[in-house]
Amino acid sequence: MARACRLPRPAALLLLRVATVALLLSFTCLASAESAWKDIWNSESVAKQLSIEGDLQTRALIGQHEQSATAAVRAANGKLRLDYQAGRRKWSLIDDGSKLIRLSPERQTAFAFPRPSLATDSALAQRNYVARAVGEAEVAGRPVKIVEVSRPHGPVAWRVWLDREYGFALKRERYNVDGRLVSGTEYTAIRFGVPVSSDVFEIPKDWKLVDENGGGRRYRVGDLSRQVGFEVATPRYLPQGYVLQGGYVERRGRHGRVAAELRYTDGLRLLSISQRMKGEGDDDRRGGSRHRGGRGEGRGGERGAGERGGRGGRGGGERGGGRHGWGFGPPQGEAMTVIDRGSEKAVRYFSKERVIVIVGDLPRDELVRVATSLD
Amino acid sequence: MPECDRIRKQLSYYAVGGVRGGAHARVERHLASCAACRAELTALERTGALVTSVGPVPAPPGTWEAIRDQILDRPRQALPRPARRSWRVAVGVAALLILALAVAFVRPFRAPQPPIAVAVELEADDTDTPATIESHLSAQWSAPLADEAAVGLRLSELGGS
Amino acid sequence: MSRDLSDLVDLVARARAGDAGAFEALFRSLQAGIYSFIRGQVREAELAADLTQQTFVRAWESLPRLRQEGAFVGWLHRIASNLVRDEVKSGHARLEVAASDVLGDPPGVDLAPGPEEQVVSQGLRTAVWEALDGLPAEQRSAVIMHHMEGMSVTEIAQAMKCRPGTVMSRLARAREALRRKLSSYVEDSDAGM
Repeated sequence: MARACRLPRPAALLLLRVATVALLLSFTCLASAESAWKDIWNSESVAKQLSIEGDLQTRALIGQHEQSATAAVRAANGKLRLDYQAGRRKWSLIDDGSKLIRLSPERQTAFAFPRPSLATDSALAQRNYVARAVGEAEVAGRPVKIVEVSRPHGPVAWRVWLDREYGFALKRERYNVDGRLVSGTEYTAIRFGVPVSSDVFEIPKDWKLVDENGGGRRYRVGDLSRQVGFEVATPRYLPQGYVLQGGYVERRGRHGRVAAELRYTDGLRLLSISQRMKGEGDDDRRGGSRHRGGRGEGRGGERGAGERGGRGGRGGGERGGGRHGWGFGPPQGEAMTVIDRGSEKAVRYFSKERVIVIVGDLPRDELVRVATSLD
Repeated sequence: MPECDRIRKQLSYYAVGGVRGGAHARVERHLASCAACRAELTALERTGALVTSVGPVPAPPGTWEAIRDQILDRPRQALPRPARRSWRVAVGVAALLILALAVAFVRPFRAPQPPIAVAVELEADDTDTPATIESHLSAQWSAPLADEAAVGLRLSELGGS
Repeated sequence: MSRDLSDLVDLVARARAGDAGAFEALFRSLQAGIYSFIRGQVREAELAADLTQQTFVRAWESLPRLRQEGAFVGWLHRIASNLVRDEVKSGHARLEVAASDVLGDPPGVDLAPGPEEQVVSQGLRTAVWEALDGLPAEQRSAVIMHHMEGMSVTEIAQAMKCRPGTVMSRLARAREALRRKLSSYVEDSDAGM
């Protein structure tokens, strides 16, 4: 009886071998995943410490077109300067640690805007993404280790080529949520430990400085509402893994009206939701809008802009004709526009009272769902 | 016994590892033949073990959330924060967390979707979208794994140089 | 509690570069020790919790100034000590207050064990903290750091800004005093606790 049940010896040995290999593999995978994340966080922190000089090529898919440029790079003490060239166009970008400064040589003007420097939440990133080492190569004549990051069971989102000696990322590829390659950067030459003088990161003396949007202070939602003077709506739906990072005050619109911006993150990707109250100068777009695409001109609806009315909202009941500017009657025009910019999509949405813009690297349906869950 | 008196005085130091070299050897030799001193040493060692067994007291729940809320701004101020504010901060953070949870879990009433237009380019009269994209990209610059060179390229394409 | 030094160094380096996830890991690993350390000097639990928070926030802000990652634990304790000293100076806290003077519950009630801790009797816990109460402040801090936080004599010396020999001396004198105060428990343990 026992003999009949027992596996023949060679099969048993094979099974044992397979099991051992499987066990070893799973340990290796675990260990390699952990070390892949270590390499990633290490590459982030060394980038802020190293002083380097180099040249790179970069390309980005913007909308339907690919833009590319070369840039000379200098970095030291956490500051970074990129001197770009694309065809005849030349411009520079400086990160001086607290602001981003765009230098426009033709206009001898520097445009400064806030660079929110938020602490990295590596724990959140590691909850939402997986990292693995996938191979080795050479970039700019230096040996590198290749690491990929993606959502579990999702397509690759980032691929980085990390210098074996310094851990610094010599090449990067970024894929959007639809799996498309949307940007790539590669160093063609690099030197580490080169002294870089600090005036490289300063604005040339006699240039004009335009400080756009100043501030950049982070608020909680309640405080943000007080700052902007209207109740900030928060989305009832959020894509999986995203948490609120903070709220910011912005000025936008034709007349520089105050807007509230909420920023969410899943540890690596960002989702920005900006909103402002409609006012004069905005068409009543609930019922009609000017747009391209030939769905017919609809400038329907009176100027409901001044009415705040009740928050009857878009929910179940109000299906009055779009002509009167209530709810979403028969399509007289679109209240929502989606733009695919490659590395992110933007949704502009005119709700009953607000102009809402949402930007993020998400599937179109998710973005629309977030938009409609506001208000 | 005079030797016991001498050794007794050193036993507590011996127990914490503070006796070395010749003195250490002398104590060991005495302990080998003195049960009373051995018992005392055992008592001293047990005392240490008792204190260790009690272990540290964990900080109250909510401490990390209160800290996290303060550090995410990365302020580099020299002034210390006033002591009593922290509990209000903790309440604020709790409220925010509850809000975030509610947002994540509450299934929204599926309002009829508005008709959607898909545009390819930014509309000429749209000043809202480019502004939000720009601030989104600026935030992207500092995000982990950001490709600054490519983000910079996008920013320049938005704003014009 | 044993800390793998290379892990600690790695976490501190990342936290210094702005990684809040790494700082959270440091917090989780060290919070009970720091809280106990502060609690040993400041009698009110709420104030101790407050100061614990301030210690970590201050540490985050000052991290760029820390050169040697390995010295993080001692450095963190010095931040805590300075904050306690400031509180005492401003009159918000009194050191060396007898356990029975504490407003509210007697010590031990708020000193509840964390989930990972072994089952230790509440009576023993209270007795140990009461015994610690009776020690001079320096000895008490040394005992908390050594026995409850698992810090080495070198780390304690860094934290207290004194020589290792002084740490030994404080630990030894404290051990003698505690042996007497806890004699009933010490003798009990003979029976095989």
